[in-house]
Amino acid sequence: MEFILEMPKPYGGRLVEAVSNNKEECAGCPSLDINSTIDMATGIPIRNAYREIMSIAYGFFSPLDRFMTREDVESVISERRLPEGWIFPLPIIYDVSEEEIREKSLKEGDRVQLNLKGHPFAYIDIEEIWDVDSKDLAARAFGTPERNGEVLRKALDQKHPGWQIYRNMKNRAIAGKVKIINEPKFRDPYNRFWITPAESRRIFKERNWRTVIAHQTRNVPHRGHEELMKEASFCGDIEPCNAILVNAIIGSKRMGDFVDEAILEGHEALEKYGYISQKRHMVSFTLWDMRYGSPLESLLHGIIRQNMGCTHHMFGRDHASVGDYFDPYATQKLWTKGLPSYGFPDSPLNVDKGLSIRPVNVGEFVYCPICGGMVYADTCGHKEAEKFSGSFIRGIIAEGITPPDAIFRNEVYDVILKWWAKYDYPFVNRRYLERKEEELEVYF
Amino acid sequence: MSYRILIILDDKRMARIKGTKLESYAKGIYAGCLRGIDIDVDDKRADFILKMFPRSRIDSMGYIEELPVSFKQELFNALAESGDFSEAIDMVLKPDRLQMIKEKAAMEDEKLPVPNIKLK
Repeated sequence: MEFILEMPKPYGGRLVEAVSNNKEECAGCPSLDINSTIDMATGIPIRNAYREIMSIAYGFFSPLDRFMTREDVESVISERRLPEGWIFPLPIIYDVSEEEIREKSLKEGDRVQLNLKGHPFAYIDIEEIWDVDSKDLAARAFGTPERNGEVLRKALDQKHPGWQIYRNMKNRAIAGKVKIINEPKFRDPYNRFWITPAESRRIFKERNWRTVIAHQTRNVPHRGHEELMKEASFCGDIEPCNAILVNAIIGSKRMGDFVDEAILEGHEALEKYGYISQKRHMVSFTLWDMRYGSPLESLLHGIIRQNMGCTHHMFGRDHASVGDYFDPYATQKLWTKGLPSYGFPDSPLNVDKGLSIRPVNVGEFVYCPICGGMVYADTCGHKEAEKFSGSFIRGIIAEGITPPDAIFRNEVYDVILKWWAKYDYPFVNRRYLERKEEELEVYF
Repeated sequence: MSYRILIILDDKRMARIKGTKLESYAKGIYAGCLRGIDIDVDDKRADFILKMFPRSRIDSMGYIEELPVSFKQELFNALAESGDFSEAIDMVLKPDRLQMIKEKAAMEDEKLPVPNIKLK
């Protein structure tokens, strides 16, 4: 028998790699400081464009190599594709104020240096300067119930973190290709998990990982996640997948989510203590302030993980979702039969310029006292099986109750306690988001 | 439609309801690894609770989750005092008690005590 699958090509044919470490490329250019997008209602940082610059420049978002023009954004919102035809689900915009444009006399054709934490970091070659109507952008970025009623149950509003990001953008945008000229360093523990697509592809080859399944996460893993990863990895082709790539999304998050350090080290603990073999497991992250766009976000996840070299991607219930805006199975529907109202008459694999990464749609894992552990809900026949949710686990953790080993590994709980002790709080709160912007992620 | 709030019963809470009729409502969770009591909450009260605590939500099993620790603590206290589920909910939703819970909840967002457990 022959193997069927092999590492897919980067989406669009090649990885974007726009990193030079040559500050001279910006000599004499006007400069702008990169500031966080702030939720005007609460004053909390909810996004930082530096994360998008990193994800573009290192090829996570390939073939996207730029901040979008007005035409790009319209194409993305109406077709979920770039004007060149490649799938891209969400607007990527470098927003600036009118004052910044005026003060620096910025105009199309200029190269503008972008400073991060007071240091030269990257540049944009300005192709277009355009007006942003943030109200309209927020209303349309994720679709509307009128147009996308097949999965979008209600209009997004101020309770939706992705809506907030677009709604709080400034009123002008500069569009154009970006390049990093001075790589920031990641603080511990992020530095252990920073693996670019070029690097992950190299590692996969080195370890002879022909088929790799991606696990999207914004959670510290409970036993349900662990079983999901182990069992989903049995897809492969004529043998199970050679490995699991855990790829955490690191950035601003919802209040009450687990802190990023605990997410990364929690997954690391699973391999450190042998619950998933190091020979078949790798933990990494992508910088991105989650938009919680459910099926749309899943397309971005597919693009990122194909670029990292994965052959498969797990998609569960409520993938990258928040609240009850989207059908809980919107992502699985998209990857199985398409979502015509979003421009996908068929699965993203089976459309023109489609993705190559294959979906593995998975259901729920439950605890069954008769089977004696975590089981797949659809295959366990015992009525005694008990569901549990991430919010339930967060609830007992907040109350100071040690989660039972049956649903949460002690070693993973230890990681939570470690970061809880550091931040006086087990989850993302306002102080964490503010400190994260100032000091926790990168330095020069 | 009715929703539920699950109050987890640690040893301290179990001791407090020992010998009362509440004890008979305590159920084992995850093969007895945890114990808890389900409190039914009607639609109207559930809506009110969700409004009072904007981060709270109803999970896929119909439980109101992501409630402040202080809310759950006060709900348990009210339950232990009254011995009645419906009365306990009414007690914590009274304006003065609710205000006190909200004040505590605001502080919770800043700091929660780390459990006194020895790390490996």
